Amino acid sequence: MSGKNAGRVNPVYTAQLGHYRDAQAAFASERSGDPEWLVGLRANAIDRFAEIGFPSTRLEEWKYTNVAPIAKDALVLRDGDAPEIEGAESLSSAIARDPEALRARFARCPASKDRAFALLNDAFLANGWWVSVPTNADVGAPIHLRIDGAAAGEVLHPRVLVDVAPGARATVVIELEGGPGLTNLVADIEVAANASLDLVLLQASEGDARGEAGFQVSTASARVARDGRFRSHTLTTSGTLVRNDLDVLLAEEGADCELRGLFLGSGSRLIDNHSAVDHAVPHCNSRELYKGILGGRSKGIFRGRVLVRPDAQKTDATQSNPNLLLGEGAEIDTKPQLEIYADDVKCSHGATVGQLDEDAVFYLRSRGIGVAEARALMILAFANEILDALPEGVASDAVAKGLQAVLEEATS
Amino acid sequence: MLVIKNLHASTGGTPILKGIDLEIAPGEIHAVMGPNGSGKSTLANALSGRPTTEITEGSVLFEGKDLTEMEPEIRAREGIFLAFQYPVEIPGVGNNYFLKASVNAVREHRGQPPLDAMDFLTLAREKLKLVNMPNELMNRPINAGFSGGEKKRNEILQMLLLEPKLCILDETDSGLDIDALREVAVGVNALRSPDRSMLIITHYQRLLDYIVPDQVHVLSDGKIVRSGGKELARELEETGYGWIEQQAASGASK
Ligand SMILES: Nc1ncnc2c1ncn2[C@@H]1O[C@H](COP(=O)(O)OP(=O)(O)OP(=O)(O)O)[C@@H](O)[C@H]1O
Ligand SMILES: [Mg+2]
Repeated sequence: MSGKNAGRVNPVYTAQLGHYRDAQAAFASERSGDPEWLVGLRANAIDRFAEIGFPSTRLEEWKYTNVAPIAKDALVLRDGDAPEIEGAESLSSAIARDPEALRARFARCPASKDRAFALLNDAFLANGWWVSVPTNADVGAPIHLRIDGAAAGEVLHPRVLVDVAPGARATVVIELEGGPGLTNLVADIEVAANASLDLVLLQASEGDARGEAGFQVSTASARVARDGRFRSHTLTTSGTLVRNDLDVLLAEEGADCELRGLFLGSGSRLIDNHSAVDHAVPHCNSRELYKGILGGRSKGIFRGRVLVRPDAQKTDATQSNPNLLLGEGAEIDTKPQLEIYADDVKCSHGATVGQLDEDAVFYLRSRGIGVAEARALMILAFANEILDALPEGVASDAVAKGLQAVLEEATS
Repeated sequence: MLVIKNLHASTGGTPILKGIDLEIAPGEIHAVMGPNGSGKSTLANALSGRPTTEITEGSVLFEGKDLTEMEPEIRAREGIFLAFQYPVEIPGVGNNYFLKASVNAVREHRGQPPLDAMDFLTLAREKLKLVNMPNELMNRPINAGFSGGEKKRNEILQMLLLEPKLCILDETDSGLDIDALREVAVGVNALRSPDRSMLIITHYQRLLDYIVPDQVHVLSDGKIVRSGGKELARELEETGYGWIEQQAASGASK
C-alpha cells in the first residue's frame, strides 16, 4: 500500500452526492415555510454529508459492512407523512403545533457529526413521530409505530423521538416493514428519572419471504437519567443489508440499561449490530445480550463498546454475544470493546460461536422426534432466551416467521 | 425381538465393538456388565442409532427389521428406547413440550390419534407419580439443572410415557440413592410384560435385585466374554473382572 493512491477511496461512496444535493434542494424549496432552525439543520446536514459521502470500509466502524450496494444508486426520496397514532404525534403536527418545543427537543439530540446516514436523515427530516409519555403515566399497551417499506430505488428517512417523563413507564415498538429500497431510521430517546422504557426495534418484514427485503440502517441514541431504566430489544430477521447503531448514555446515578438483540441470517444477508454504552457516572448497570443465528452464507457482525469513564465507580457491566452458525458458509465477526478508566468496577464480556449441539439433537431424535423438528427445536430454544423477555403485548409472530426461513434453510 | 450378529462398531474411527452376538426374546431381561470402557454404552448407542457410532460389520434385526439402516427417530417410533447414562441438558426446550411432541410422534407412527394438551397432562401426572417426580419438573427445560437422580428419573418417566418394546437402560442405577433406586425399579417393573424386553447395563447387583434378569452377559474389549444366569451378576460383584485378563493371558500363551 504505497504510492500516492494509497489514500484513495472507492468512488462508489461519493458517486451520488450530487444527486442527493439536488434532491435535498428540491425538498427544501418545497418546505421553505418550515421553522428557520429546521431549515438550517437540514442545510447543514446535507453540506456535511456532501463532504464526507457514504462510509467506506476503510473506516474502522464500517470495516465489515460494505454499503456500496446502497451508495451506488441514486435513491429517490419517498415522501409522505406519518399517520397519527394514539400516544404518538406526527412530526408535521408537532411542527405546526409547537415548533419552539420541538426545537428545544432537537437541541438535546446528539449531533450527527460524521455519521453519514444520520446526516442524510437530518437533511430530509420531515417524517416521523414524537412520543411523549407524561409524568407518572403507565402506558399499558405498546405504542406501535409501523413504518412502511421503501420500494425499489426509493429511500425513506423516518425520525422517531421518544420521551418518557419522570416516573412514567411505556413500551414503544418501531416496526420497519422493509422493502427493496432503503429505510434509514434515526431514533432519539430520553428516559427521565425513575422512568422505564422498553423499546422494540422490529426488522421482520414479511416481504422478505418474497425476496423483497432491502437495506435497513438505524441510528438510535438513548439517554437515561437517575434511576431510569431502558431496555431495548432489537429483532432482525429480514433485510439483505442491515446496520443498527445503538448508543446509550447512562447519564445519572442508578441508571440502568439492558440491550437485547436477536439477529437471524439466511441466504447471503449481512446484519451488523453496533452498540455503545457510556457509563458516565457511578452506580449504573448495563446488561447486554445479543444472539445471532446465521445460516446459509449470511454474515453477522457484532460490536459492543462499553466505556466506563474515570468517575464511574461501582459500574456493573456485562456483555454477551453467543452465536449459532448453521451454514457452512455463514460467518460471524464479534468483538467486545471495553474501555475502562475507573478501578472499582465489575465488567465482563463473552462471545461464543457454536454449532447446534448434535448430542442434544440426537437426544430428541432418540425420543421419536424427527430430525428437522429436533433441529428446529434447538434453534428455537436458542432464540427463546431473547423472545421470552419481550415486553408484554409484543407478539413475536413476525420473528417466528423469520425464524421459519432460517429453519427451513438449516434443516433442508 | 432383537437379534444381533457379529456386530462391529467404531466411534471416531476407533473400533470399539468387535463382534457381538446377542439374542433377546420377547419378555426377556438381559443384563450387560463389564469393566469401564468395555463398550457397553457403545452397544446401546449402536442400537439406538447415535450418528457418531458407526456400524462397520454385522447385522441387527429388531422384530425382523434391519435396524442398521434406520434413522434414530424411526427406531424410537418402532419401539426402541435408550435411557441414557448421561442424559443431556437442553435449556430452552420445555420438558412438557418435548414429552408431548415425543409421545405424539410415537403415537402417530402407531396409527393412534395425537393426545391433546389435557389428555397428555393427565397421562404425564399418572407417570410422574410412579417415579415420584414433582409435577413442576414438567415446566422446566429438559434436564436443565436437574440433579443426577432427577435426570435418571426423567429418563424412566419418558420410558413410561413411550411404552417401548425394547428398553435399554444404560447405568440408570448409577448415582442413585437407595430410595431413588427403588423408585426407578418400581417404574421399570411397571413396564414388565410378556412382550416387552429389556437390556440393562449396570455395574451393580443391587438393581438386579429388583429387576431379575434372565441372562447376564459380560462385555470386555468389545466382545461378550461370558454369559450366564442371574447368579453370574452376584459372582461378578464378588470376584470383579480380574479373571478376564487372566483368561486372556492364558489364551494368548496357549
Ligand atoms: N470419539 C471417540 N474416539 C475414540 N474412542 C472413543 C470415543 N468415544 C468413546 N471412545 C472409547 O470407546 C470405549 C468404549 O466406551 P463406552 O462408553 O462404550 O464404555 P462403557 O463400557 O460404557 O464404559 P463405562 O462403564 O465407563 O460407562 C472407551 O474406551 C472410550 O474411551
Ligand atoms: Mg457407559
